[in-house]
Amino acid sequence: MSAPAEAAPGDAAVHVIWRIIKYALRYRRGLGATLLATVGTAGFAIATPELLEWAVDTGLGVEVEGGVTTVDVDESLLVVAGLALLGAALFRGISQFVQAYLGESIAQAVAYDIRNQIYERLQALSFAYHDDAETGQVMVRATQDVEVVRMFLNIGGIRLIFTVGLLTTVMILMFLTNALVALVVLPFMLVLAIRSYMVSRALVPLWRDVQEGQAQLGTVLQEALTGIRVVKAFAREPVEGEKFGVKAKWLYRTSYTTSMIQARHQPFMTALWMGAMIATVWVGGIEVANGNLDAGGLTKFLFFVALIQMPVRTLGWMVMMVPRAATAGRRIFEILDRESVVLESPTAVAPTAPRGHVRFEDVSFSYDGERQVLDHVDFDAKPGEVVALLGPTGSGKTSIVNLIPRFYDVTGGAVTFDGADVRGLTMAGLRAEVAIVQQDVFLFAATLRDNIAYGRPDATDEEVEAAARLARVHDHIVTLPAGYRTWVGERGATLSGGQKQRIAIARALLMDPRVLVFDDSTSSVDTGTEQEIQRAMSALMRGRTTFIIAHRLRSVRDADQILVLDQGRIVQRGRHAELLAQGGLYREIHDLELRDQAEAYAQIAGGAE
Amino acid sequence: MGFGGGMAGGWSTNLGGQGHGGRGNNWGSSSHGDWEDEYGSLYNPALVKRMVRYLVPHKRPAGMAFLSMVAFACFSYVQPLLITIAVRDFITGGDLSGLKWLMFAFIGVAIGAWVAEFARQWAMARVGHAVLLRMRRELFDHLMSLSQKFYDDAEVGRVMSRVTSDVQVLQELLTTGVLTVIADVIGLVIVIVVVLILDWQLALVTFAVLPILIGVMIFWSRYARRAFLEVRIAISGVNGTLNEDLNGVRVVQGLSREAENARRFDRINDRNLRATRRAGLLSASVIPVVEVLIAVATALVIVVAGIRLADGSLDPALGFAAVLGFALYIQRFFDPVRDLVLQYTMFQRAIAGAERIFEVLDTPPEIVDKADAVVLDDITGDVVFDNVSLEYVEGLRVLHDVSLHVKPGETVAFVGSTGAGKTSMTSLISRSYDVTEGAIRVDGHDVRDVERRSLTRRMGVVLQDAFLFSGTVSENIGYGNLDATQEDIHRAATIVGADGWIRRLPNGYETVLAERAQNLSLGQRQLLAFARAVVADPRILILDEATANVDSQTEAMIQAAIAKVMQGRTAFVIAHRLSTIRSVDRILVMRDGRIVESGSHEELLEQDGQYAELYRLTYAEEESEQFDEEAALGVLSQLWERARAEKAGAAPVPAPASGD
Ligand SMILES: Nc1ncnc2c1ncn2[C@@H]1O[C@H](COP(=O)(O)OP(=O)(O)OP(=O)(O)O)[C@@H](O)[C@H]1O
Ligand SMILES: Nc1ncnc2c1ncn2[C@@H]1O[C@H](COP(=O)(O)OP(=O)(O)OP(=O)(O)O)[C@@H](O)[C@H]1O
Ligand SMILES: [Mg+2]
Ligand SMILES: [Mg+2]
Repeated sequence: MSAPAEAAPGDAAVHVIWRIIKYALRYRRGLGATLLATVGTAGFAIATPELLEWAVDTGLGVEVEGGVTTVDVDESLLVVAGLALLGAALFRGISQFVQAYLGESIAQAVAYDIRNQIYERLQALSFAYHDDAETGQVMVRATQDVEVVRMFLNIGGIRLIFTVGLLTTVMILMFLTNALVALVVLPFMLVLAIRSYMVSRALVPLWRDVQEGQAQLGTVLQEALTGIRVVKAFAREPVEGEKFGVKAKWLYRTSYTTSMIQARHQPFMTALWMGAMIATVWVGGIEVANGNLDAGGLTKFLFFVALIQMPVRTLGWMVMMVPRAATAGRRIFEILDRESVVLESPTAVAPTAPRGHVRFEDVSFSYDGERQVLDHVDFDAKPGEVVALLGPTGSGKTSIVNLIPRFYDVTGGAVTFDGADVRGLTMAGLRAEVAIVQQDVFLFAATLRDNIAYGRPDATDEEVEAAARLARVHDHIVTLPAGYRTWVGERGATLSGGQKQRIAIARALLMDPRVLVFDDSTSSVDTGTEQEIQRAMSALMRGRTTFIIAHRLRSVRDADQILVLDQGRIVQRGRHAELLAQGGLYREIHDLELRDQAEAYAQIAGGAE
Repeated sequence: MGFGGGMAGGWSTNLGGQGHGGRGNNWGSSSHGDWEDEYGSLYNPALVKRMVRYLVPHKRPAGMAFLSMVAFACFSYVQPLLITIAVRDFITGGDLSGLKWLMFAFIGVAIGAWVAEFARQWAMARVGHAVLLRMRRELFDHLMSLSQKFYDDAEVGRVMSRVTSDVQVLQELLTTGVLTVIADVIGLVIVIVVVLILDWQLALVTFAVLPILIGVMIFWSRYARRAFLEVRIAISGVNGTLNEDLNGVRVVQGLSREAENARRFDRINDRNLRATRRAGLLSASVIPVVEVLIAVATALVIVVAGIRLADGSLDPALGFAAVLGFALYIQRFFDPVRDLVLQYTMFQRAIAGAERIFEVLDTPPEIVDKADAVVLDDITGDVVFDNVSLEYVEGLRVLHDVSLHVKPGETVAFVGSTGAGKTSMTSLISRSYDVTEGAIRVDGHDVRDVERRSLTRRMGVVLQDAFLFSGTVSENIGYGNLDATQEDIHRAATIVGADGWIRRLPNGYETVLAERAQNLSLGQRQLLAFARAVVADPRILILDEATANVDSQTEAMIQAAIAKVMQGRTAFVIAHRLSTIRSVDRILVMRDGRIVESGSHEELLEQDGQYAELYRLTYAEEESEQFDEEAALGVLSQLWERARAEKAGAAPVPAPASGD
């Protein structure tokens, strides 16, 4: 994700640009109107020099002959010319208005579409994508890169077409009026076009660097801000500052380089335009003196050249939008084209009358395709059963439960839900039946109420409260001045560890799933509260298949099935008593805790005496 | 249109500009309201002065940018005059050699303009990017110095936008914006003087339309301002939502909330679309007005000149040249006026950006070192809580009058129910927050009197929420001690029992971790955070549920190993598993922000108080207070019933339309 996109063949700038344009093509009618308005704008813009020519030649009747200038004013014609000028300006203004407004509208609509798509894609991409993705990177793509695409469509796209069209038409009209003058102006225009193209080519890699630099800066920033507690705890502010500084400097250098190229390019364009003006005045002047061009013709020429001043000056800038959009587009499409590795099959069905029967049939799993994380895992959790997973850290417990709602797909074997392979079920249908209280609690910056009701936004206050009661967090919430309306900081910053966990439990309780998973969900909760939660849960667990991951034997002892994992394999399985009899890892853990327990009883007994 | 270089693009570029504009005045979305209205009052001398200060270190290039801009304005605005002279004095008179010389002069002007424009862009790039760099650094360093309290409410996405986009807007203003305005004013003066000299009567005719233009623009900018602010508010909503939901995507998928979220996002996105379209409408609507006014002026000039030519009060050659010159100048004349008004909105955007940046820079860190703060070379680890009270939120006391003395080398443990204030106690020692009442003393120094960095340098903290950075495993372990060798790192990993699995990772210690170490199990993350604290070689070690997500065996192993390391160090341990803390010197039982019991494991069991109760709960089945879970379940089943009925009844809800 952090590496810039490799330029695959389909990645060529033209393809990317074409793809961006295709977004705009959805708004065919608006686009048609915009183009029409663009033609109108150009047409009426060209009308002004023509009208001026007419006004000078017939209205004022200016004649230049042999160094003598005469006039023959026709006042009524002049008024007509003035009104015609006004009319042309009015129409030009209106069509320019339409062009500007519709152009902007379409560009914004495309930005809107792309943002929605990015959002939906990000929400749909499976955990595997998000494991590797850098939030800062993705954010920069979804914001700054989309902005670049929007600007391209309006400025680089529509206005560029306008500019090129205008320049061409003006050149043609010049040729029709006086070939000599036109011929002198032509080289300037050609140099202009070639230069613009070359510069924009040269800028392609540079813009990629700039955009990548922005993204990397965003990543460093985002990480330093999210990890601020750690940064401060280890007094590492200067080092983080250094890290940020290096990225900022790099961005500084690349953007400085692009600016320098622009600084060389743009003034040159301006100079070219001035050159064209000089050529027009000079050659045009000679032609007038020689009688090959009349006063009106000269006027027209001057205004043609004046007309293209703005387009020429901004041409360099507009052309630059193209490579910028190509890089930005490529980065955006990289997200949009990312296929989720977990895909819903076209023939997927929603589970009907779900019972919550989960089976792992010889499941193997690897996150990266290299390191085997689960190794031939096989078990059967019948509806209503309580299955406990136990094992050392990193043994694969979380990985197992993540396979049930298809957060990841197995690499070997199959996971079935009510007898059907989970890969044949609709994602929404399956996930509605499986609720996981994730080990790594995430709360949203929202009120406590909204956090608890996150999966069921339509829950009533009473229902939210009931869930909070069951998770044993209600009593704390009511002591807060704002109660359920208390704002929770980002990631639950203003709550204690145990409070966060219990909010997460309450959130899952509202879901009414057939399968409930508690992944180490009470690790930050004291023993007393934990037991209370457990008792509340036992009422809730009735008729639901429940997976419990815990490190304390107490929590797993009563399970119908205990699976002991080690390095991705199930090394022992059975009920508490059976496992104890077997010896092995379970026995070791038990003895470790038992030792405590025996001592405890001894001490409590001793203390009570 | 003006000299804005990049700005010269035209109408729509002033819209929204940078992606993420406005963000909350406050740092989170918890405080609502259209605060942005407070921003963007145009002229604020203090603010301007402050911004200009950023230009001071770049006096020379900035001066050069200014001078070259003036030069360019002169060269550029003198052109129509040259053309007028060429027509009046040479072309109409057939004086071609005179024309040649004038054209040479013209070429000189063109070259001058070329050079000046290049110099301006070069100087501006230098200044602009340097200012940008400096501001970013300043912002970042300041953000790093802000206290924990700030981050409790701040939303990272929103803070980020200030460092990325607001800075850019401000830089634009400082370089392009300010200079463009100056150049526009100069250009305007040149045009007025030249046309007055050319023909004062025609000049006055031309000026007639100016008041109308200015009036229209002022009227317009009033509406535009509101529209532009609305755009900023809307886009900030879009980006905030995106950032938040991206971070929480695992929860979103786990609870199948994608459809609902997509609907919500679409609404926010749509609000932005409408706001930008409205702003676009306003931007575009100036165009016809300006066009028509230009045409009116041109037509007036032609007609008036025609009348004067007809009655002979104007010489034909002069008259023709004047008409030409005026028509050319009228175009130029409107450019600066129009530009100035457009710049005005850009100013507003930038001023708002500046305010938001300075707001960050002006947020005082709640915790700052005193001027005469003591720098601790080393500490022995003597920690005293002297009648300490703490309130995070005013009026909501979390710790009440806690007193405690921990001697160097002593290990104490905090136990107690969740929310009792254990984490809060430890965060006071490292001065992440300041006490509300009382004092914390380390080695006899009030922590508020010492340099914070010298204090935390000698502390190793394992936070309840194990945060790791992207980077390799060994970089993460060595995070707190830049001098750590590979051996130190391996040793620390061995102590926390992580060496084994680290070596099994694809690249061992050099394995690159993903953001927030998502590619490790939670227990593994905790162990790395633990190792990180060990490597820091601290005098005071704080373990806040450092092994909560770690299995019992590993934990037992760590305990044995850590006991050796802890020799002579002060340690604070928080744990819910009592086996973790049984062997510490002193156990402090906390309840509702007070220390209610204190003593060794044996002593506390002896007392048969809360600790003994907790202990019994851990190992024995105990009937605790009953509460009516059936009633709560009853309430919930109504919800479930409703949800099921909805699912069965309603036809499959169509996915939210995306796009058109
Ligand atoms: N997203 C991921 N990408 C790559 N590897 C991963 C990912 N998540 C976990 N792993 C690796 O897979 C193995 C199993 O991890 P898992 O999270 O299932 O462990 P666990 O049993 O839940 O441990 P814990 O008790 O610490 O939570 C570990 O070695 C871990 O490093
Ligand atoms: N940053 C904060 N802002 C506001 N309130 C806070 C903040 N941090 C903690 N609190 C509140 O202070 C109280 C004590 O929290 P603390 O984190 O010290 O508890 P704890 O004893 O560590 O609990 P746990 O065992 O659950 O981690 C809690 O009620 C919590 O909601
Ligand atoms: Mg786990
Ligand atoms: Mg805590």
